Amino acid sequence: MKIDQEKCVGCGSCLPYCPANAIKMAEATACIELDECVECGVCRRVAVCPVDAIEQQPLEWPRAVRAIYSDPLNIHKETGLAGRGTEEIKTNDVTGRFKRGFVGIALEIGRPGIGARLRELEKLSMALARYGVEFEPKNPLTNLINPVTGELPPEIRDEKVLSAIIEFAVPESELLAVLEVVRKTGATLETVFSVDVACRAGLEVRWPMLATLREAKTYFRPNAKINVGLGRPLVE
Amino acid sequence: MTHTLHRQGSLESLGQDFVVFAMPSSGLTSAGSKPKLDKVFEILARHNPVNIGDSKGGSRFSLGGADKVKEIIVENELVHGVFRSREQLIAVLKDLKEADLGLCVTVSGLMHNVEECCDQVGLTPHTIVNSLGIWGKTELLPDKKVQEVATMCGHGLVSFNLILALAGQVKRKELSPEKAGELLAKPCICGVFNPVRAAELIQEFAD
Repeated sequence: MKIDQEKCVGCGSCLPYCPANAIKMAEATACIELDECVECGVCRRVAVCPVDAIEQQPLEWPRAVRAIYSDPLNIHKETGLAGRGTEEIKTNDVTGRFKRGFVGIALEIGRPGIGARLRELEKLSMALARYGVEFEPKNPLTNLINPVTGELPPEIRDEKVLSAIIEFAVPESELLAVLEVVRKTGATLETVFSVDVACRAGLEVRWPMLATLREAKTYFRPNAKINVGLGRPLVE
Repeated sequence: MTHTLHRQGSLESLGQDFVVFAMPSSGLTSAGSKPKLDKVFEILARHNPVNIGDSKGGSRFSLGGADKVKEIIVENELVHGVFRSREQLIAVLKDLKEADLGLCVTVSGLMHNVEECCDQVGLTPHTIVNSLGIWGKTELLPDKKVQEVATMCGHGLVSFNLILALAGQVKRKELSPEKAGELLAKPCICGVFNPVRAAELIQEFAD
């Protein structure tokens, strides 16, 4: 994004809206620090500028990657969906993507509200590739990750995004081992990341994954997202 | 949108915050889904949501009214509403079950509450996703109260600075908490933000 310096009246109305804290006052006008801006589009969309001075400049590769993962109105060609992730559990009752005996894991790097350079994400993707996970093919990030090494294209490593999500599934028996890899590597990151885990309802225990987490004394939040099984045709 | 499960707060506060999503599966059940999504919108709107929106176009607060959300619903869409009580959730799930649209429905909220509401309506939960919290360099994060407000936008579009600025205005009695909640809902483009809960949190912050 950029602010037309001829139009800006220096009122500062746009400053608090920036999730990346990239808008600053420079003498009499507001300016966007391009290296910090994640191209999420919030400053323009909320329309608080009284003189309509905020503009979307043309985005070329590799900077375009910022908008791809930061602006949720982008429709990803890989998923056909808006947002940063996949349909994940939301349609699992008809896709059967998460099967019994497996656990889906999603790591959202930069969330909540801190943002991340993609090189931070790469630390996790490389560690997970070494472990041998297969990244979710429908995730809009996966096509950029080398499936063998977990590396990202060098030209995008310094690009900053609000957040981007690594998704994969592992056998339930490997859940704790993979979380240990994530925990060790995560401690080296210069940002935060949110972690979530998904599973199918079991035949004997409703949520077997949660039993595993409880047994290992691994914290999970009391709130959750539940697919209530209304999709048709239903995958049993 | 995707990460409404990462909402933070006390059990009492989270107990008044439910997000109901309905969508077809892209490529599998998306063809012909527009009239079904319109019906979902009608059902959600009937039960007085505090926010309503869709993933590709906007929300009641970003577009300036629930009717405008209805106008922009398209094929292969995700429509959602935010509710404050178990009673509302039960009524919504009951109507969605009776409508038998075949769309996939997901609910975010306190796990035991959602499961109990499903039981009351006769629904069998199919799949769950749980948050293991925030990992990494957590010392970068702001005050817990700021996080509780910010995490109500799944895409992280509600800035920490905006929350602090509006809380300051409420504290100085320049703005009502309710108006602050509505202003905070505006950047959350898809509409999963709960402005009523935000107003409560902002009031606590200001106190």
